[in-house]
Amino acid sequence: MKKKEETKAAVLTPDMLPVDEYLKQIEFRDDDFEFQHRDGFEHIDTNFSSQSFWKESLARFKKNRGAVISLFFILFLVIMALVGPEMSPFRYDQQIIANQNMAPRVPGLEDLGILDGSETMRTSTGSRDVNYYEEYGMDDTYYWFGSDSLGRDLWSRTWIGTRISLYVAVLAVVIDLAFGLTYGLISGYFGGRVDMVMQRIVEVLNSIPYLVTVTLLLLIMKPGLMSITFALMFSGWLGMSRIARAEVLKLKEQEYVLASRTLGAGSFRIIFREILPNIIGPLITQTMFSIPHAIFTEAFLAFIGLGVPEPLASLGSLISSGYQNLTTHPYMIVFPLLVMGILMLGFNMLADGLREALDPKMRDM
Amino acid sequence: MKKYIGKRILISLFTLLIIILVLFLLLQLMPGSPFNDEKLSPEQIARMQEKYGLDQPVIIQFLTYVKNLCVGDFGVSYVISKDTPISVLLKTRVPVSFGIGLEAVTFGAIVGLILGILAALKHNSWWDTLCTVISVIGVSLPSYVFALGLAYFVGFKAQWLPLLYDADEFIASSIMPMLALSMFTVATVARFTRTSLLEVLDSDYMLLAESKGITGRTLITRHALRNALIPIVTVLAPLIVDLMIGSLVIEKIFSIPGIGSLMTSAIQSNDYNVTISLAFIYSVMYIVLMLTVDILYGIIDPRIRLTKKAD
Repeated sequence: MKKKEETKAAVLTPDMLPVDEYLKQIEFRDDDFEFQHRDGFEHIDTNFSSQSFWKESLARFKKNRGAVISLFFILFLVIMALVGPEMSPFRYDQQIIANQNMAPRVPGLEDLGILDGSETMRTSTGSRDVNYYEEYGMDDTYYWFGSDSLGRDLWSRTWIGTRISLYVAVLAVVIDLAFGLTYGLISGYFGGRVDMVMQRIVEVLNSIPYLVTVTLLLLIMKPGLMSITFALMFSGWLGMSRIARAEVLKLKEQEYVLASRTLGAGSFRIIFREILPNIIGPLITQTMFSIPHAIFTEAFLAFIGLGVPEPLASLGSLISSGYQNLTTHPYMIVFPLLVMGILMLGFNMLADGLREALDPKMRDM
Repeated sequence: MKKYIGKRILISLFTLLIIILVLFLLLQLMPGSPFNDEKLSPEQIARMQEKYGLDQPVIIQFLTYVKNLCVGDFGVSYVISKDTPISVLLKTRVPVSFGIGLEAVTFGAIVGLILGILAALKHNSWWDTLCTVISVIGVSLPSYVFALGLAYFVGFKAQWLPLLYDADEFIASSIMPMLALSMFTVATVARFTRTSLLEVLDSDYMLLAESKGITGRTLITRHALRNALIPIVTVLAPLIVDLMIGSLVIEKIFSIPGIGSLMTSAIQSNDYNVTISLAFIYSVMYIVLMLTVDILYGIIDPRIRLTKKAD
């Protein structure tokens, strides 16, 4: 009884009235409940406010000039690979025997004296300048990158070759994600005997040099896009699986994963919904690095004569055939080599930039 | 540690066995038989098969094959040079390839080290920029880009160096292949040395050494470099892979009579026997080198030793 009196006393108002009595005496106006304006003395710190992971990464990526420029170069090459072959009046496999070994000639630039279709011929009696366009009276014909020893347009062939390289790039990403990622996630997540067996398989595959796997594969299969695809499938995903496994091992013992499991989440959900989004940074980086590797593999195979069959062209096979005419018609190798170089440099620098943007701790590695 | 080494050796041997098995099966599956001359009577074929052990069960044939590989008997070449034992083909070619490979590694390592050290000591100077540019280009561009560039400008236009390989002028004619082959090594080693040295220079024990009064060269060589270079073993593996691949292309460009160009022409002319023997040799080289690198790695870096034990 006494206790009740005390509680009543506690809610007494300044006028010593019970609360409900007191409230009745107050008159409320509309502006009583407006926000107090504190514009003058309050400001939000925008410099250090936390931002989302992607926003921060994007900001870091934009600061990296090399990577941004590479991205634009790659985009340019992608567009050229798509529309390039259509821009030329000649198809990539169209042979015009009369127009062999034509030097590059570009409208507009020819007036400036560069790429005007003339080239220096070296003969036993010394060198002289020739211009086949003038000699043959083909004033309206323009081979922008020149023509090869079978009279095929190198402009179309170069961009068709770029298409092949880009196909290989896409293929590398797909293989990384489809095989490497899944393999690494499963191996790392389940651990124990599953991991044991899966890791031994990786170790064995890893100790076979890919030069050997590739050549052996090509011995049984005919050289071509299919065999290149298989060759990449065989060994391209090993690096990715290792990274994915290591990242899963770091995360799978964390409390939030345990919490999710306690709530009844299955393995599939934990792997793909809980762990995967948190390790996406290193995985993207790894994928980006396998692109130049795959392009290089294709070009290497083409160079030693295991590339796509004629009349299809890849950058590697163009370089390979240009190399045979290196001393007589050097222009044949210049453009494929240039595109190849830009592609390789671009993808490597883009990957570097992404690595720094997605994982700032890895800087300078 | 012993357990780790033992495990690595076991896995390597197992891999090698698998490779040999695959190679053997490929040889069995290859079209044609050695005796498809129509003039041979069935009796003669039977006698020939007996002579070469082809009437034996497959498992015996396989064991003979393994034994032959172990003693270096790879059979004969069919296309490239008819009926020449492959071991004879190899005898002159292996030293050439190894010579150029060794030159490239040595040159690449020295240049890369110097470049990396200079870049780290003069951090943010133009040396640093040069190092970064070289390492990006060297890692990105395939070695044949350099090889073709050198061949055209230095070999063909300027005629400073012989364009093609010449055994009589080994030094002069191996400079360009060596440069082209070593670009990747230069780039990787320079990049690695720079990063690692920068990290060490920033560490507490360097500050301690400096405050003890150690200066100049002693500080750099004894305290910084020694620690910075320990983990360089980590870049050895990609270097080996690159050298093996690179040699194939480079030897073709400069027509060097090494195993790389033998491999290329064997592939192109469908000389199965030679291709498969070379695949075996490449595998053995690769597996042995990788094993060495892994074990070195375990011995040198205690942290790796410990985590490998925990595995």
